[in-house]
Amino acid sequence: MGKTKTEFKWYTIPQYRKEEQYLSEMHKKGWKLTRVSWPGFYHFEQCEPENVTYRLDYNQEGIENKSEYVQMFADCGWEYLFDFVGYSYFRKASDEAEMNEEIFCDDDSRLDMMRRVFKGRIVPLIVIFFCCILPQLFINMNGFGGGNGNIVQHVLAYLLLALGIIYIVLFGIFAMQFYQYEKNFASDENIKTKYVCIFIGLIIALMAMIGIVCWANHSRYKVTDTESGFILDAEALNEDIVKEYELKPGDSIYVNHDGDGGEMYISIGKDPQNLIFYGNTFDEFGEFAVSIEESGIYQIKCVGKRAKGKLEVEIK
Amino acid sequence: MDAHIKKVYVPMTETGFYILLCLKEPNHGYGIVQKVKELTNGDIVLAPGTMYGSLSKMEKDGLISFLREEEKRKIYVITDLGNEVLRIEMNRIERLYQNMREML
Repeated sequence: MGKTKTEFKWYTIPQYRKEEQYLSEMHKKGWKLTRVSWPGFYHFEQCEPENVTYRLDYNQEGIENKSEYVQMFADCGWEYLFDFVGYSYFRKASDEAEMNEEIFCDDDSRLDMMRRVFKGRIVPLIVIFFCCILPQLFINMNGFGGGNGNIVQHVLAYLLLALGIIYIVLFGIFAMQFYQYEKNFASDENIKTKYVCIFIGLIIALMAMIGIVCWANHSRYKVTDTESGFILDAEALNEDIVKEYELKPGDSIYVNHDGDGGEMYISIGKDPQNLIFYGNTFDEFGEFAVSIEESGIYQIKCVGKRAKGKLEVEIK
Repeated sequence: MDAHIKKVYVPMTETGFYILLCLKEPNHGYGIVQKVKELTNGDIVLAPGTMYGSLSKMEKDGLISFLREEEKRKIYVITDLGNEVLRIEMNRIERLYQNMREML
């Protein structure tokens, strides 16, 4: 066995034409393809530089009925190499005159190949996006599903958001690449309409994600003043609530917190530098009382981050 | 004939037409490639990707049916539906030819 080498090349799903070109160029330089491994390592073996046409087909049915599929290509002079993530690799030595021989001889079958790639590779990604990423984003952004909006869910939510955005960008790139192919042979106006619809769909998906984030960060709560304090009933508190009371020595502030998720911070004091109490839901302050020793105007400040639950403050 | 068949096969691609025409006699993919090459003096060389895709599509749509396998090659023959599609296509081409003759 001669010298070998491995190159890393990243081709997106619809870029099979570029990949074919690359492999032919490598062979012309004296490197013949031996295998491809995930995610994009191309393994070559040194050989005589030759004009060899490489072609990729995507045909699940062919892979399932491999012997007759490969036989058909072999009959037509194509050497079958291997399959890699649904693509079958073929090559054929050719002189300059018949370089760039195709494995498809009409536009209909070229379009069919594109459709098979779309069905086999892109549709699963779309399903994952709508059935997995979007619902998970919604659950974790809102702190549902048992995590109650803890830090793990918080980080997960933003990772999912990032993943979702990557997905949409990739879908956009795929759509552009498919469009480049399709416009070469499908001349009808329909394809423009089709791709405009695809882009509108992508924008809707993006808006859905933004909507989920906005909804999760949007405050939904109710504050009710009582005779001697207030009650905060929060479904999702994402802002600061400040209440001021004039108090004198001997008064006490009773706080009862029944949290149901998210984070809530509470601080009590005459000014932010001089707090007489500070607590948060991490410490599960639950129920407590603070006695006042100096008279003055006291601020009770509640800061929520997707906080859910009930807070009762009573002054006696 | 249902709408799907009409939409996909009327009018037909040159490839599709030659495949159906050749399958009047039982044959396999490569046999069709050779026959078409012969019929067209080497002008039309059907490519394997197209051939494989067309045969499996036509089989699914019931235009041709699988007979038997010989040395890893599937042998097909045209069905009644395939004949009907072929007849429609032949009428269309005939009219095309007649009109061409009359006008020129």
